[in-house]
Amino acid sequence: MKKLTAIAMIPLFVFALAACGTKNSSTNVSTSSGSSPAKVITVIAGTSPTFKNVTFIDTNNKLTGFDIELVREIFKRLPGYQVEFSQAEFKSLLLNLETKKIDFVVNQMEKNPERAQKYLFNKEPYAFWKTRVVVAKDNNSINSIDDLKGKKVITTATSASATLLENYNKEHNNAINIVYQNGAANDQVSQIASGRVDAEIYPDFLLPDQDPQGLLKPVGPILSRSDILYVFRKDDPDEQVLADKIDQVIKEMRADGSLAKLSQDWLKLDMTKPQV
Amino acid sequence: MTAFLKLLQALPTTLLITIISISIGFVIATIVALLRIYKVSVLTQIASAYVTFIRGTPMLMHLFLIYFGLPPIIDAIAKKFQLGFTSTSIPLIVFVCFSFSLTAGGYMSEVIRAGILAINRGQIEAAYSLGMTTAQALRRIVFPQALAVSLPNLSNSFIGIMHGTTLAFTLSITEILGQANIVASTNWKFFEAFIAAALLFWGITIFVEKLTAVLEKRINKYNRGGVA
Repeated sequence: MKKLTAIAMIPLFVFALAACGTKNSSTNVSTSSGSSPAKVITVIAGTSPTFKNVTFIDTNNKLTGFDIELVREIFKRLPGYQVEFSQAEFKSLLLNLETKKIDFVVNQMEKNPERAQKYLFNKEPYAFWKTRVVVAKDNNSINSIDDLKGKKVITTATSASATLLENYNKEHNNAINIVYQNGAANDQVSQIASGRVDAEIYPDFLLPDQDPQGLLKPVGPILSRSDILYVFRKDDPDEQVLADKIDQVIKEMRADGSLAKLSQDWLKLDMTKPQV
Repeated sequence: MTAFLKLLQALPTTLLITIISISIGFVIATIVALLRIYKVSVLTQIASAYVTFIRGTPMLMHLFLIYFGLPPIIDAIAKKFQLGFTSTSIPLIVFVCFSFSLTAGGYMSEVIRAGILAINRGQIEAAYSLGMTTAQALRRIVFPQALAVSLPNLSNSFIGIMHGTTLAFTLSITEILGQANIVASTNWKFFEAFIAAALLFWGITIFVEKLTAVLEKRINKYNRGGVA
C-alpha cells in the first residue's frame, strides 16, 4: 500500500517541481527587470515536517508539501523578503516562536481563542478544516446530521467529534447512537464501508489521509469549521507588518486561483474555500 | 459517584467477555495440556506452537490478528458455500471473545499441564491396576486433584483476562475502562473516572479471590486424607 502511494506520488512531485521551476524563472525575470537592490530581510518559518503532503520530507529528502510550497510562493511574491525553513518537533514550534528562534509557524495551525490570546494570527486563512458527516460512498440516505437519528456513528472517546455528537445528543434527546472506541485499531473506514456503523464526523482535510482508497464521502452542511493561519509573535511591530503583507499575497493568490490550484495539486481537493 | 453508577452499566459486558473467554479457554487449555503430556504425534507440535505463539505475543496483537485476519477468511468461506452472510453480520464482541479465548487457552494450558504433572504417576498406574481405562483414570483420579492444584493459578488467569478485557474498547466494545473514558470526556474528570474504574475492577477481583478461597476449601475437603 505504502509503496503504491509512493509510486502514485512520483508524478505529483515531478509536476510540483516543474511548477516551481517555471515560477522561479518568471520571478527572476521580474526582479531583474524591476526594482531596486534594497536590503532583503530573511524570515525564518518554523515547521514540523510530519504531515504528509502538507509539510513533509519527500523521497528526495526535500522539505515540501502544500504548506511549504505555499509559503515559498508567497515569499516569491513578496519583494524585500526571503524565507528559510527551520524544522522542529510540533510541540516546540510555539516555544521557538516565543524565543525568537523562528519568525512564524507554518503547520496547518488552527486559530482558537486560547491561542489567539497568546499569539498573533494573520487575518486571511489560507485553508479551512470543514468538519462534516462522512458516510460510505454508496450511501445516499444520509445527507445531514439530522439524518443520523437512530443511526450508529463511530467516534473516538475524548475527540472533538465525540464532543460534537454528545452536544447534538443533549439537544436532541440522545437521537444518535454513538459508538465509542479508543482509536487504536484505525478501523473507522472499514467499519463504515462494511456497514457496521453508518457514519463518522470528520474534518474533510484529513479524510484523504484516513481513507486513501476513497471508500467514504463527506455529505451535508459543515458542522464546524476552523481557520488555518500562520502564527506570529504578539506585540512585535515587525511581525505585524509581515503578517499584513502575507495577508495581501494570500488575497492575491486566492483571487488569481493559484491558491486553489496549489491545494488541488497537493491535497487533490480545494481546501482553501470557506464553503463546501 | 455518578461516574461509578455509569460504569456499572459496562460491568455486564466486562463480565460476559471474561467468563466466556475463560470457559472456552479452559476447554482449549485442557485439550492442549493433554496433547502435550501424552505426546500425540503432530498434534503435540501444533499444541506447543500454539502455546509459544500465544505467550510470545501481546494480547492486543491477538485481538488485531483475529479482527483483521478472520473477516476475509469468513467472507471467502461464506461466498464459496453461499451461506448468505458476511463477516459484517457477526457482532464485534464475538471477535473479542474468540481472541481472548485463544489468549486464555494458551496461558491456562501451562497451568493445567503443571497441575496434571503434579499428580504422581503412580496414581494412574494404581487406577490401571484396578481396571480403569485412561479416560476413567483421568476423570476420576487425576482431574479432581489437578484442578485443586491449579485453582490458585486459574483464578490468576481469570483476573488477568478480566483486566485484559479493557482492550475490547479498541473494537468499540464499551467495557468498564472504555465507559470511564466516555464519562470523562463529557465532564473532563479523567482522574475521578479512572479511580472509579479502578475501584470497580478491584472489587470484582476481591470477589474472585474470595470465591477461589471457598472453592479451594471445598475441593481440598474432597482430597483430605488422600494421597495427594
